Amino acid sequence: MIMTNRLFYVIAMAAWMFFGYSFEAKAQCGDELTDVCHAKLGDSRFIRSFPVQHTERRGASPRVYKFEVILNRGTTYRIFSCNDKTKPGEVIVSLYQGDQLIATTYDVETERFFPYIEYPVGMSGRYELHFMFKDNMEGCAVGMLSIVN
Amino acid sequence: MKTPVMTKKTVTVSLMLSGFILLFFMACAPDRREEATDLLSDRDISEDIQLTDETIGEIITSVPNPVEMTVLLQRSNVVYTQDLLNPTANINNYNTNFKRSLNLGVYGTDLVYMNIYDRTVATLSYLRNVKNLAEDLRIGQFFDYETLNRLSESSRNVDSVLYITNRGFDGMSNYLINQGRSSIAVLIATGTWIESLYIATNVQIHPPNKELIHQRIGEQKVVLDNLLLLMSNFRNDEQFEELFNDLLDLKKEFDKVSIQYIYEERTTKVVDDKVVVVDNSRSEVNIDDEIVEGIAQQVEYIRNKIVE
Repeated sequence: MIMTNRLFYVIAMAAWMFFGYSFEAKAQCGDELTDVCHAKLGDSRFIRSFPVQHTERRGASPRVYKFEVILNRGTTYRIFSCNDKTKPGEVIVSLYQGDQLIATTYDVETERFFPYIEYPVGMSGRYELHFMFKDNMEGCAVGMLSIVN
Repeated sequence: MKTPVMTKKTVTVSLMLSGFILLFFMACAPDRREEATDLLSDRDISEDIQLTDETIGEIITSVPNPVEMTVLLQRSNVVYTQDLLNPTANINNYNTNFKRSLNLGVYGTDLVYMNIYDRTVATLSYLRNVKNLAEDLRIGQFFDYETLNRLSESSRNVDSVLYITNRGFDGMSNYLINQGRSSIAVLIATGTWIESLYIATNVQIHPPNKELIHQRIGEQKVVLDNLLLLMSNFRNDEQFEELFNDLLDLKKEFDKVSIQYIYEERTTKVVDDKVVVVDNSRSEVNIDDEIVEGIAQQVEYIRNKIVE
Protein backbone atom coordinates (compact mmCIF):
# COMPACT_ATOMS: atom_id res chain seq x y z
CA MET A 1 0.00 0.00 0.00
CA ILE A 2 2.78 2.41 0.98
CA MET A 3 4.70 1.50 -2.15
CA THR A 4 1.62 2.09 -4.30
CA ASN A 5 1.12 5.53 -2.75
CA ARG A 6 4.78 6.38 -3.12
CA LEU A 7 4.74 5.28 -6.74
CA PHE A 8 1.68 7.43 -7.35
CA TYR A 9 3.41 10.36 -5.67
CA VAL A 10 6.56 9.91 -7.73
CA ILE A 11 4.62 9.71 -10.98
CA ALA A 12 2.53 12.74 -10.01
CA MET A 13 5.67 14.73 -9.22
CA ALA A 14 7.28 13.69 -12.50
CA ALA A 15 4.15 14.65 -14.40
CA TRP A 16 4.06 18.02 -12.61
CA MET A 17 7.72 18.65 -13.45
CA PHE A 18 7.20 17.52 -17.01
CA PHE A 19 4.00 19.34 -17.84
CA GLY A 20 3.93 22.10 -15.24
CA TYR A 21 6.04 24.54 -17.21
CA SER A 22 3.93 24.46 -20.33
CA PHE A 23 0.71 24.72 -18.32
CA GLU A 24 1.98 27.78 -16.52
CA ALA A 25 2.91 29.38 -19.82
CA LYS A 26 -0.56 28.72 -21.20
CA ALA A 27 -2.42 30.03 -18.21
CA GLN A 28 -1.50 33.67 -18.68
CA CYS A 29 -4.17 36.33 -18.58
CA GLY A 30 -6.04 36.52 -21.82
CA ASP A 31 -5.94 33.00 -23.21
CA GLU A 32 -9.34 31.86 -21.97
CA LEU A 33 -10.77 35.31 -22.61
CA THR A 34 -9.61 35.17 -26.22
CA ASP A 35 -11.75 32.08 -26.74
CA VAL A 36 -14.71 33.74 -25.04
CA CYS A 37 -14.25 36.81 -27.21
CA HIS A 38 -14.04 34.65 -30.31
CA ALA A 39 -17.78 34.08 -29.99
CA LYS A 40 -18.33 37.81 -30.55
CA LEU A 41 -16.71 37.77 -34.00
CA GLY A 42 -20.06 37.37 -35.72
CA ASP A 43 -19.69 37.82 -39.47
CA SER A 44 -16.11 39.08 -39.16
CA ARG A 45 -12.79 37.24 -39.53
CA PHE A 46 -10.26 37.22 -36.68
CA ILE A 47 -7.02 39.10 -37.30
CA ARG A 48 -5.31 39.71 -33.98
CA SER A 49 -5.83 39.64 -30.22
CA PHE A 50 -4.42 42.06 -27.67
CA PRO A 51 -4.32 40.70 -24.12
CA VAL A 52 -3.99 43.37 -21.45
CA GLN A 53 -3.50 42.84 -17.73
CA HIS A 54 -3.65 45.82 -15.42
CA THR A 55 -2.76 46.07 -11.76
CA GLU A 56 -4.37 48.86 -9.81
CA ARG A 57 -1.84 51.41 -8.65
CA ARG A 58 -3.33 53.76 -6.08
CA GLY A 59 -2.49 57.39 -6.75
CA ALA A 60 -0.76 56.62 -10.02
CA SER A 61 -1.97 58.09 -13.28
CA PRO A 62 -3.99 55.62 -15.36
CA ARG A 63 -1.81 53.46 -17.56
CA VAL A 64 -2.56 53.25 -21.27
CA TYR A 65 -1.54 50.07 -23.11
CA LYS A 66 -0.77 50.84 -26.74
CA PHE A 67 -0.50 48.66 -29.82
CA GLU A 68 0.27 49.83 -33.32
CA VAL A 69 -1.73 48.40 -36.20
CA ILE A 70 -1.67 48.99 -39.95
CA LEU A 71 -5.16 49.38 -41.36
CA ASN A 72 -5.82 49.18 -45.08
CA ARG A 73 -8.02 51.32 -47.25
CA GLY A 74 -11.08 49.51 -48.56
CA THR A 75 -11.28 47.15 -45.58
CA THR A 76 -13.86 47.39 -42.79
CA TYR A 77 -12.36 46.54 -39.41
CA ARG A 78 -14.19 45.62 -36.24
CA ILE A 79 -12.65 46.35 -32.87
CA PHE A 80 -14.07 44.94 -29.66
CA SER A 81 -13.02 43.58 -26.28
CA CYS A 82 -13.94 41.24 -23.44
CA ASN A 83 -13.34 41.69 -19.72
CA ASP A 84 -12.37 39.09 -17.17
CA LYS A 85 -15.50 39.15 -14.99
CA THR A 86 -13.56 38.05 -11.91
CA LYS A 87 -11.78 41.42 -11.87
CA PRO A 88 -13.42 44.80 -11.28
CA GLY A 89 -11.81 46.68 -14.17
CA GLU A 90 -13.65 47.38 -17.41
CA VAL A 91 -11.48 48.12 -20.39
CA ILE A 92 -11.96 51.14 -22.64
CA VAL A 93 -10.66 50.70 -26.19
CA SER A 94 -9.82 53.74 -28.29
CA LEU A 95 -8.58 54.02 -31.85
CA TYR A 96 -6.09 56.76 -32.65
CA GLN A 97 -4.23 58.01 -35.69
CA GLY A 98 -1.30 59.99 -34.36
CA ASP A 99 -2.77 62.22 -31.65
CA GLN A 100 -6.23 62.18 -33.18
CA LEU A 101 -8.89 60.12 -31.44
CA ILE A 102 -11.01 58.43 -34.09
CA ALA A 103 -13.39 56.37 -31.95
CA THR A 104 -13.74 54.91 -28.49
CA THR A 105 -15.87 52.24 -26.84
CA TYR A 106 -16.72 54.52 -23.89
CA ASP A 107 -18.66 57.77 -23.87
CA VAL A 108 -17.53 59.78 -20.85
CA GLU A 109 -20.55 62.09 -20.90
CA THR A 110 -23.20 59.37 -20.83
CA GLU A 111 -20.92 56.83 -19.07
CA ARG A 112 -22.00 54.32 -21.69
CA PHE A 113 -19.94 51.44 -23.06
CA PHE A 114 -20.31 50.37 -26.69
CA PRO A 115 -19.53 46.77 -27.62
CA TYR A 116 -17.97 47.44 -31.04
CA ILE A 117 -16.16 49.98 -33.16
CA GLU A 118 -16.61 49.47 -36.87
CA TYR A 119 -14.25 51.29 -39.18
CA PRO A 120 -14.44 51.27 -42.98
CA VAL A 121 -10.95 52.60 -43.63
CA GLY A 122 -10.44 55.36 -46.18
CA MET A 123 -6.82 56.09 -45.34
CA SER A 124 -4.31 53.26 -45.15
CA GLY A 125 -1.56 53.60 -42.61
CA ARG A 126 -0.48 53.45 -39.00
CA TYR A 127 -3.10 53.53 -36.27
CA GLU A 128 -2.91 52.85 -32.56
CA LEU A 129 -5.20 50.91 -30.29
CA HIS A 130 -5.21 52.24 -26.75
CA PHE A 131 -6.48 50.17 -23.84
CA MET A 132 -7.13 51.60 -20.40
CA PHE A 133 -9.25 50.49 -17.49
CA LYS A 134 -12.08 52.68 -16.27
CA ASP A 135 -11.24 54.37 -12.94
CA ASN A 136 -7.79 52.73 -13.07
CA MET A 137 -9.26 49.55 -11.59
CA GLU A 138 -7.45 46.23 -11.67
CA GLY A 139 -8.46 44.27 -14.70
CA CYS A 140 -7.75 41.73 -17.36
CA ALA A 141 -9.11 42.06 -20.86
CA VAL A 142 -8.51 41.04 -24.41
CA GLY A 143 -9.05 43.29 -27.38
CA MET A 144 -9.75 41.92 -30.83
CA LEU A 145 -9.28 43.18 -34.32
CA SER A 146 -11.22 41.52 -37.11
CA ILE A 147 -12.22 42.24 -40.69
CA VAL A 148 -15.85 42.30 -41.66
CA ASN A 149 -16.62 39.82 -44.43
CA MET B 1 -4.81 0.46 8.55
CA LYS B 2 -1.52 2.29 8.57
CA THR B 3 -1.67 5.73 7.00
CA PRO B 4 1.25 6.41 4.67
CA VAL B 5 3.32 9.37 5.81
CA MET B 6 5.85 11.08 3.55
CA THR B 7 8.91 11.79 5.62
CA LYS B 8 11.56 14.33 4.61
CA LYS B 9 13.76 11.46 3.43
CA THR B 10 11.09 9.86 1.27
CA VAL B 11 10.21 13.23 -0.27
CA THR B 12 13.86 13.75 -1.18
CA VAL B 13 14.12 10.26 -2.67
CA SER B 14 10.87 10.81 -4.57
CA LEU B 15 12.08 14.09 -5.98
CA MET B 16 15.30 12.45 -7.16
CA LEU B 17 13.31 9.65 -8.75
CA SER B 18 11.08 12.24 -10.43
CA GLY B 19 14.17 13.87 -11.84
CA PHE B 20 15.41 10.54 -13.21
CA ILE B 21 12.00 9.81 -14.75
CA LEU B 22 11.98 13.25 -16.30
CA LEU B 23 15.46 12.72 -17.73
CA PHE B 24 14.39 9.29 -18.97
CA PHE B 25 11.39 10.78 -20.82
CA MET B 26 13.57 13.49 -22.30
CA ALA B 27 16.18 10.96 -23.43
CA CYS B 28 13.50 8.84 -25.07
CA ALA B 29 11.99 11.76 -27.00
CA PRO B 30 12.59 11.30 -30.72
CA ASP B 31 15.40 13.48 -31.99
CA ARG B 32 14.01 14.75 -35.26
CA ARG B 33 16.80 17.00 -36.37
CA GLU B 34 20.07 18.41 -35.20
CA GLU B 35 20.31 20.72 -32.21
CA ALA B 36 20.32 24.42 -32.99
CA THR B 37 23.78 25.70 -33.73
CA ASP B 38 23.13 29.19 -32.42
CA LEU B 39 22.08 30.56 -29.04
CA LEU B 40 19.23 32.69 -30.31
CA SER B 41 16.55 31.04 -28.24
CA ASP B 42 18.16 31.72 -24.90
CA ARG B 43 18.54 35.46 -24.80
CA ASP B 44 18.39 38.57 -26.86
CA ILE B 45 21.63 39.10 -28.67
CA SER B 46 21.88 42.85 -28.65
CA GLU B 47 23.93 44.52 -25.97
CA ASP B 48 23.03 48.06 -26.94
CA ILE B 49 19.26 47.68 -27.11
CA GLN B 50 17.49 50.75 -28.40
CA LEU B 51 13.94 49.45 -28.00
CA THR B 52 12.62 47.88 -24.83
CA ASP B 53 10.68 44.64 -25.02
CA GLU B 54 7.58 46.65 -24.14
CA THR B 55 8.11 48.91 -27.15
CA ILE B 56 8.76 45.93 -29.40
CA GLY B 57 5.45 44.50 -28.16
CA GLU B 58 3.70 47.73 -29.14
CA ILE B 59 5.20 47.85 -32.65
CA ILE B 60 5.25 44.18 -33.66
CA THR B 61 1.45 44.12 -33.84
CA SER B 62 1.73 46.39 -36.89
CA VAL B 63 3.15 43.55 -38.98
CA PRO B 64 0.05 42.43 -40.85
CA ASN B 65 -1.56 39.09 -40.36
CA PRO B 66 -1.27 37.17 -43.68
CA VAL B 67 -5.03 36.66 -43.61
CA GLU B 68 -5.54 40.22 -44.87
CA MET B 69 -3.37 39.90 -47.99
CA THR B 70 -4.62 36.40 -48.77
CA VAL B 71 -8.28 37.37 -48.44
CA LEU B 72 -7.62 40.25 -50.85
CA LEU B 73 -6.07 37.83 -53.37
CA GLN B 74 -8.90 35.38 -53.05
CA ARG B 75 -11.59 38.05 -53.41
CA SER B 76 -9.75 39.36 -56.46
CA ASN B 77 -10.16 35.93 -58.09
CA VAL B 78 -6.43 35.25 -58.08
CA VAL B 79 -5.81 31.57 -58.76
CA TYR B 80 -4.25 29.41 -56.03
CA THR B 81 -0.64 28.41 -56.76
CA GLN B 82 0.72 25.56 -54.67
CA ASP B 83 4.16 25.84 -56.28
CA LEU B 84 4.75 29.15 -54.53
CA LEU B 85 4.75 27.58 -51.08
CA ASN B 86 7.87 26.55 -49.22
CA PRO B 87 8.25 22.76 -49.71
CA THR B 88 7.74 20.97 -46.41
CA ALA B 89 10.92 18.88 -46.86
CA ASN B 90 12.97 22.05 -46.49
CA ILE B 91 12.44 21.87 -42.72
CA ASN B 92 15.42 19.54 -42.50
CA ASN B 93 17.67 22.42 -43.56
CA TYR B 94 16.73 24.63 -40.63
CA ASN B 95 19.28 23.92 -37.95
CA THR B 96 19.66 27.34 -36.41
CA ASN B 97 17.08 29.14 -34.32
CA PHE B 98 17.47 32.08 -36.68
CA LYS B 99 16.31 29.94 -39.62
CA ARG B 100 13.69 28.14 -37.57
CA SER B 101 12.12 31.38 -36.41
CA LEU B 102 11.95 32.86 -39.91
CA ASN B 103 10.55 29.68 -41.40
CA LEU B 104 8.00 29.26 -38.64
CA GLY B 105 6.60 32.53 -39.98
CA VAL B 106 6.92 31.31 -43.58
CA TYR B 107 5.09 28.03 -42.95
CA GLY B 108 2.48 29.86 -40.86
CA THR B 109 1.71 32.11 -43.81
CA ASP B 110 1.57 29.10 -46.15
CA LEU B 111 -0.95 27.50 -43.79
CA VAL B 112 -3.13 30.60 -43.88
CA TYR B 113 -2.89 30.74 -47.68
CA MET B 114 -3.91 27.09 -48.06
CA ASN B 115 -6.80 27.42 -45.66
CA ILE B 116 -8.26 30.56 -47.18
CA TYR B 117 -8.20 28.82 -50.55
CA ASP B 118 -10.00 25.82 -49.03
CA ARG B 119 -6.99 23.51 -49.27
CA THR B 120 -7.55 22.65 -45.61
CA VAL B 121 -7.30 18.90 -46.06
CA ALA B 122 -3.87 19.20 -47.70
CA THR B 123 -2.37 21.21 -44.83
CA LEU B 124 -1.30 18.30 -42.63
CA SER B 125 2.40 18.37 -43.46
CA TYR B 126 2.48 22.16 -43.06
CA LEU B 127 0.73 21.86 -39.69
CA ARG B 128 3.37 19.35 -38.64
CA ASN B 129 6.17 21.67 -39.68
CA VAL B 130 4.74 24.59 -37.73
CA LYS B 131 4.35 22.33 -34.70
CA ASN B 132 7.92 21.00 -34.98
CA LEU B 133 9.52 24.41 -35.46
CA ALA B 134 7.49 25.87 -32.59
CA GLU B 135 8.60 23.01 -30.34
CA ASP B 136 12.22 23.47 -31.39
CA LEU B 137 11.91 27.09 -30.29
CA ARG B 138 10.22 26.03 -27.00
CA ILE B 139 6.93 27.69 -27.85
CA GLY B 140 5.08 24.57 -28.96
CA GLN B 141 2.56 24.95 -26.12
CA PHE B 142 0.84 27.73 -28.06
CA PHE B 143 0.15 25.65 -31.12
CA ASP B 144 -2.87 23.39 -30.69
CA TYR B 145 -1.81 20.75 -33.19
CA GLU B 146 -4.30 18.07 -32.14
CA THR B 147 -7.32 20.34 -32.56
CA LEU B 148 -6.03 21.78 -35.83
CA ASN B 149 -5.29 18.32 -37.16
CA ARG B 150 -8.85 17.23 -36.37
CA LEU B 151 -10.47 20.38 -37.76
CA SER B 152 -8.41 20.19 -40.94
CA GLU B 153 -10.29 17.06 -41.95
CA SER B 154 -13.05 19.25 -43.31
CA SER B 155 -12.91 22.49 -45.29
CA ARG B 156 -16.06 23.60 -43.42
CA ASN B 157 -13.85 24.42 -40.44
CA VAL B 158 -11.68 27.01 -42.20
CA ASP B 159 -12.62 29.89 -39.90
CA SER B 160 -11.92 27.82 -36.78
CA VAL B 161 -8.59 26.63 -38.20
CA LEU B 162 -7.58 30.18 -39.03
CA TYR B 163 -8.65 31.43 -35.61
CA ILE B 164 -6.70 28.76 -33.71
CA THR B 165 -3.65 29.26 -35.93
CA ASN B 166 -3.63 33.03 -35.51
CA ARG B 167 -4.37 32.82 -31.79
CA GLY B 168 -1.36 30.51 -31.51
CA PHE B 169 0.92 32.93 -33.32
CA ASP B 170 -0.32 35.83 -31.16
CA GLY B 171 0.34 33.75 -28.05
CA MET B 172 3.85 32.86 -29.20
CA SER B 173 4.71 36.48 -29.92
CA ASN B 174 3.39 37.78 -26.58
CA TYR B 175 5.12 35.01 -24.67
CA LEU B 176 8.48 35.48 -26.43
CA ILE B 177 8.45 39.22 -25.78
CA ASN B 178 7.46 38.75 -22.13
CA GLN B 179 10.28 36.24 -21.74
CA GLY B 180 12.89 38.61 -23.18
CA ARG B 181 13.18 36.60 -26.41
CA SER B 182 11.97 39.39 -28.66
CA SER B 183 14.53 38.60 -31.35
CA ILE B 184 12.68 35.38 -32.14
CA ALA B 185 9.30 37.13 -32.20
CA VAL B 186 10.72 39.69 -34.66
CA LEU B 187 12.06 36.95 -36.92
CA ILE B 188 8.76 35.06 -36.95
CA ALA B 189 6.97 38.30 -37.89
CA THR B 190 9.55 38.98 -40.61
CA GLY B 191 9.17 35.48 -42.09
CA THR B 192 5.40 35.86 -42.05
CA TRP B 193 5.51 39.19 -43.84
CA ILE B 194 8.10 38.22 -46.47
CA GLU B 195 6.19 35.05 -47.40
CA SER B 196 2.94 36.96 -47.67
CA LEU B 197 4.57 39.56 -49.91
CA TYR B 198 6.31 36.83 -51.93
CA ILE B 199 2.97 35.18 -52.69
CA ALA B 200 1.31 38.51 -53.54
CA THR B 201 4.09 39.51 -55.94
CA ASN B 202 4.27 36.14 -57.69
CA VAL B 203 0.68 35.12 -58.30
CA GLN B 204 -0.88 35.73 -61.68
CA ILE B 205 -2.92 38.91 -61.39
CA HIS B 206 -5.30 40.04 -64.07
CA PRO B 207 -7.23 43.29 -64.51
CA PRO B 208 -9.47 44.70 -63.11
CA ASN B 209 -8.09 43.77 -59.67
CA LYS B 210 -4.46 44.30 -60.53
CA GLU B 211 -4.44 47.92 -59.40
CA LEU B 212 -6.02 47.09 -56.05
CA ILE B 213 -3.44 44.38 -55.31
CA HIS B 214 -0.55 46.55 -56.46
CA GLN B 215 -1.74 49.32 -54.16
CA ARG B 216 -1.82 46.90 -51.25
CA ILE B 217 1.73 45.85 -52.12
CA GLY B 218 2.75 49.53 -52.17
CA GLU B 219 1.17 50.09 -48.76
CA GLN B 220 3.61 47.58 -47.31
CA LYS B 221 6.17 50.38 -47.41
CA VAL B 222 4.96 51.47 -43.96
CA VAL B 223 5.28 47.93 -42.60
CA LEU B 224 8.83 47.64 -43.86
CA ASP B 225 9.82 50.81 -41.99
CA ASN B 226 8.51 49.25 -38.78
CA LEU B 227 10.26 45.94 -39.46
CA LEU B 228 13.56 47.72 -40.03
CA LEU B 229 13.10 49.53 -36.74
CA LEU B 230 12.49 46.23 -34.96
CA MET B 231 15.37 44.47 -36.72
CA SER B 232 17.81 47.27 -35.96
CA ASN B 233 17.71 46.22 -32.33
CA PHE B 234 19.57 43.02 -33.07
CA ARG B 235 22.04 44.12 -35.71
CA ASN B 236 25.10 43.16 -33.74
CA ASP B 237 24.33 39.57 -34.66
CA GLU B 238 25.74 38.93 -38.13
CA GLN B 239 22.71 36.93 -39.30
CA PHE B 240 20.44 39.83 -38.35
CA GLU B 241 22.81 42.29 -39.94
CA GLU B 242 22.69 40.41 -43.25
CA LEU B 243 18.89 40.23 -43.23
CA PHE B 244 18.68 43.87 -42.18
CA ASN B 245 20.84 44.90 -45.15
CA ASP B 246 18.71 42.82 -47.52
CA LEU B 247 15.63 44.58 -46.16
CA LEU B 248 17.37 47.92 -46.64
CA ASP B 249 17.78 47.01 -50.33
CA LEU B 250 14.08 46.24 -50.41
CA LYS B 251 13.43 49.65 -48.88
CA LYS B 252 15.21 51.24 -51.84
CA GLU B 253 12.57 49.66 -54.08
CA PHE B 254 9.74 50.73 -51.78
CA ASP B 255 11.10 54.28 -51.69
CA LYS B 256 9.94 54.54 -55.31
CA VAL B 257 6.35 54.17 -54.08
CA SER B 258 4.71 57.44 -53.12
CA ILE B 259 1.69 57.60 -50.86
CA GLN B 260 -0.45 60.72 -50.61
CA TYR B 261 -2.59 61.31 -47.55
CA ILE B 262 -5.66 63.50 -47.82
CA TYR B 263 -6.99 64.38 -44.40
CA GLU B 264 -10.67 65.18 -43.91
CA GLU B 265 -12.63 65.31 -40.70
CA ARG B 266 -13.86 61.94 -39.51
CA THR B 267 -17.19 61.54 -37.78
CA THR B 268 -18.75 58.74 -35.77
CA LYS B 269 -22.32 57.60 -35.36
CA VAL B 270 -23.98 54.91 -33.29
CA VAL B 271 -25.66 52.22 -35.38
CA ASP B 272 -27.23 49.20 -33.70
CA ASP B 273 -25.17 49.76 -30.56
CA LYS B 274 -21.95 49.96 -32.60
CA VAL B 275 -19.72 53.01 -32.98
CA VAL B 276 -19.33 53.36 -36.74
CA VAL B 277 -16.64 55.64 -38.11
CA VAL B 278 -17.39 57.65 -41.23
CA ASP B 279 -13.98 58.14 -42.81
CA ASN B 280 -13.71 60.97 -45.28
CA SER B 281 -9.91 60.86 -45.30
CA ARG B 282 -8.16 58.81 -47.94
CA SER B 283 -4.77 57.66 -49.10
CA GLU B 284 -3.58 57.25 -52.66
CA VAL B 285 -0.73 54.93 -53.58
CA ASN B 286 1.30 55.67 -56.68
CA ILE B 287 2.94 52.51 -57.92
CA ASP B 288 3.49 51.16 -61.43
CA ASP B 289 4.38 47.76 -62.90
CA GLU B 290 8.09 48.53 -62.95
CA ILE B 291 8.15 49.36 -59.24
CA VAL B 292 6.16 46.21 -58.43
CA GLU B 293 8.67 44.18 -60.45
CA GLY B 294 11.58 45.71 -58.54
CA ILE B 295 9.91 44.91 -55.22
CA ALA B 296 9.08 41.39 -56.41
CA GLN B 297 12.68 40.65 -57.38
CA GLN B 298 14.12 41.79 -54.07
CA VAL B 299 11.41 39.98 -52.08
CA GLU B 300 12.15 36.79 -54.01
CA TYR B 301 15.87 37.17 -53.31
CA ILE B 302 15.27 37.55 -49.55
CA ARG B 303 12.66 34.82 -49.44
CA ASN B 304 14.89 32.33 -51.23
CA LYS B 305 17.69 32.99 -48.76
CA ILE B 306 15.27 32.41 -45.89
CA VAL B 307 13.85 29.11 -47.12
CA GLU B 308 16.97 27.56 -48.70
